[in-house]
Amino acid sequence: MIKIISQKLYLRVALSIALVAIVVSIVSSMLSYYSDLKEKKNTNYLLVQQLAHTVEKAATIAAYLNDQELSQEIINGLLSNDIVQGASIEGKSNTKGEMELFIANGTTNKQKEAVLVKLVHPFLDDTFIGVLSIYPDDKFIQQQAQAALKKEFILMLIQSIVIAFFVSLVVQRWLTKPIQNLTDSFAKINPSKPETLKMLSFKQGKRDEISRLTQNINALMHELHLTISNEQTLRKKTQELEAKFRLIFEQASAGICLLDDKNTITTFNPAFKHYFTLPGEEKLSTLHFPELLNNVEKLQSLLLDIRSDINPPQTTLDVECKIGYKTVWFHCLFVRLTDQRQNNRSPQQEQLVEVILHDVTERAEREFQTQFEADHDPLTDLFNRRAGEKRLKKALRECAKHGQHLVLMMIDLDKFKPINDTYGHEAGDKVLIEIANRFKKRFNDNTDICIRLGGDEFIIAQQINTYDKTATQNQAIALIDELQQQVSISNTRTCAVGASIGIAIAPTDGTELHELMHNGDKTLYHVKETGRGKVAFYDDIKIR
Amino acid sequence: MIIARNLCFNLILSMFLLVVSMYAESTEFVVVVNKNNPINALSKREVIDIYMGRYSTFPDGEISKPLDLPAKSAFKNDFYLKLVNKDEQQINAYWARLLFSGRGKPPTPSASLEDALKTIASSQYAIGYIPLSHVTDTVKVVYTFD
Repeated sequence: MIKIISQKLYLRVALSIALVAIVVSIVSSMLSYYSDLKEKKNTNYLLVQQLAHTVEKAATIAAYLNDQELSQEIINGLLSNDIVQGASIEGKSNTKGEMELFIANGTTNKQKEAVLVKLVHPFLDDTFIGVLSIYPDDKFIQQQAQAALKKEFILMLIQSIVIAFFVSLVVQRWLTKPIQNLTDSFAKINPSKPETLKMLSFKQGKRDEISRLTQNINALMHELHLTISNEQTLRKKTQELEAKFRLIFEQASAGICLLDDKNTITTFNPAFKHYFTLPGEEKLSTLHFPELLNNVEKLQSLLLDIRSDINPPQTTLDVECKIGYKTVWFHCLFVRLTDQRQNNRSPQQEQLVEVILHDVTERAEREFQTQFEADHDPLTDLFNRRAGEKRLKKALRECAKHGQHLVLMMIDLDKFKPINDTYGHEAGDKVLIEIANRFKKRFNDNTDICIRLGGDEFIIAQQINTYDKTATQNQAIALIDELQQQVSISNTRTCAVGASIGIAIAPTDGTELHELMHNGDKTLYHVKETGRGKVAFYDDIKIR
Repeated sequence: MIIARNLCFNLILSMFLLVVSMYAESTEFVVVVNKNNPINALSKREVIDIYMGRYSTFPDGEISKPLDLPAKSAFKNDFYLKLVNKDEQQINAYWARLLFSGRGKPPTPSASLEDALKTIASSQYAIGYIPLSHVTDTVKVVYTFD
């Protein structure tokens, strides 16, 4: 109810006090009413008793004489008192049982509260001649008490209201108004704007609670102001720093990502994303790093290694991977991140690995090209002598290791020089390219090695598990047959070359390369001397 | 001299009064009625009721006419003292109070003791009190003080 009436504190206090005062006045008035009523009743009873004693003598005589008039007079006299409600005089019944005198007036039926005076014979002390009954007027007493109650209640009410008024005044003056001022000045403060954190005004020299509260708030706000200002400066610095770092991270041309202990990518920069998404794709195909680079096992073992404390915290690796249809080379730098902040990072995060990768496809391709150019004959794309010998040495080692055979065919073209001379070098080159293609077509296993030693001299080496001389011979004869086919050197012109082959088999015909080649050469020379276009085996000619 | 005579007179008077009162102390009263009255005896209460105006009849219903001895006589005073333990003045006050209510009718005063005796002797309704020593045949004693 009070809430509805007003939100103002002082009014509410006043109303509460008034309410309590009213209740208290009602209760106390009621209490005093009842005690008063009782007391008044007693007083009245005493008064009535006194009255009774006053008229006792006259009543005695009246009763004695059975005097109606006198009795009536007495009773009327009694009734003229406000406190008397009714009165009666009755004589004692005589010997015949008749009551000789009964005079009554007013209300005389309430026996309980009546004041009864026994009338004694005026001349004989031991004889009763009648009873005088007087009935106190309870209604009158009640009315009086009620009037007193009303008066008292009104007085208390007035008193309560006056007290409530002054209390509200005092509360308003000493409590509500200062609090209101405090609230008002507090409302001007915007916590997000430190410049509004001004000192709240309060009366100097006052030592009451509100002033002390204000002082404390001021002290608090001062501290708060300092803290917030510092905080803001710091935040500004952090923001600037963060922006710089972000710029570095986001604008870096290198792809940067962080891997957790399960090799899952947790963070990556735009360059990283750019590397691994095809145009039009929004998301990385997978967040599992090794899978993303199509090199699962190698990367996993590498990442496992780098996480171990024994190994150096960083390592690099060039990885080839396919993105869409493109083959891309990445130069990856893996760094184990040791947390520089010592505080409370979970051990999981100490296992983080940072990966920085650069797209080195161009460089790698260039390197491959260079390597290819260094290893191959520019005309035929067959291995040149230097690279070829290297390969042959390696093949020999592998054969020795695995108990294999290496078939070494020394090939020399017949009738090539006249083509060069007749049709020019360009035509000769065309023939050489065609011949090389025929080699490649026939010997295209991984273990087959085709070498152009120079001019029209070639070596074809084959790593085979079981050596079958007839098969090898057939193979060589079939090669010669194919080489003898026509080669088109221009739109209208064709020409043909022949070939002689000398075959040496490792390890039978030599375990060292130079020995093997020497023997092969010897065999070839033998073929050339004994008529070209044939195949010869070293073990056939060495007997002679 | 005159003073001495007065003094002497006063002394004699007071002595006389003393004698009278001593005499009165010893007076024994009886209540008497006419010889023809059927009442033979009355109780003290009945005597009081008749003399104090409660009843104007004898217990048998006949009218009673009480007689008083002369006012300010030793007899009257003594009688009432004996009867209701009140002196004559108090009795007078009692009657004076009753007069206002219109009811009061005090006993008829007699001129003298003899007069009273005569009235009793002649009237059947009369009732009176006399010293025991004055009782004659003409009246009937109905009550004697103990």
